[in-house]
Amino acid sequence: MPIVVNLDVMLARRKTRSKELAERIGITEQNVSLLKSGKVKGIRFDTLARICAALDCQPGDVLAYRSEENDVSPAPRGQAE
Amino acid sequence: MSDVGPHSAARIGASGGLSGLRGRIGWICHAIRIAAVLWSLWIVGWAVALWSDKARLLAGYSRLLATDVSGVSDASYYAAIVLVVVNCMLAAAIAYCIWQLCATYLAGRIFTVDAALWLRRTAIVALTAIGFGIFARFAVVAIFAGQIVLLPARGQLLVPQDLLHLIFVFFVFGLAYIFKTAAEMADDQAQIV
Repeated sequence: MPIVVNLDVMLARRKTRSKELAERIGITEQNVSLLKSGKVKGIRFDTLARICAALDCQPGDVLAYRSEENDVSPAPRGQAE
Repeated sequence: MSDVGPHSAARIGASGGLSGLRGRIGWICHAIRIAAVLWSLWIVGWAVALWSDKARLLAGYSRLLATDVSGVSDASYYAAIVLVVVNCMLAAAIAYCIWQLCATYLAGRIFTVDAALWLRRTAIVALTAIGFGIFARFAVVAIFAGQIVLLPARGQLLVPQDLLHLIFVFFVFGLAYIFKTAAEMADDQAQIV
């Protein structure tokens, strides 16, 4: 899957636990775990917006594209923070 | 508003809409299960009652064929009984599939691949039973008459209800395919958080 989910990185950066994020954005902790591990087929814009609001980040911080030929992915924004 | 997530068909079952549906179809499922069991027992009981009286049975076939078949051998008679036994087993198999299908619905797994598969199995067994039943009618007559009989002197071996039953079975096939596809699409959708 060329779309990589960097939610675990953002959670660590914001010092937020999965359970807390799940409660704040209104999805189950199980779904947050599945999202972190990339075992989902997609994410709704609504869910993505709530994640960005909760973690004060941009969608590009949570999602990255990694093509199968080129293993280098753009670094998440705010890395310098 | 909380989301439901992947692989949460059971959780979906707890939602108001689906639990309401379960409540409404619960009595229907129980009634269908009981009716299916009674029907299969009726088939078996009727076969036992009919075939346990050889003289009366052969008299009936003699009237049907307008020829005396009372001298049919025991071997031929038992061969015909084997066909009847298979017919009864298929009736029992239909009742079993219907029981399992309703059990799936009663467990709340209504719009699932599992339920669609049981619906398809029911259709397959029913189609087999209908086909075998038609074949057995002709086969029993052929065994007693000593030749293939397509049009007996009195009565019919093939009736319009046979085609109606086939129509219903293919309808159930179609429904099973539609439900399975819908359940797979729902599973796919459930994997979008």
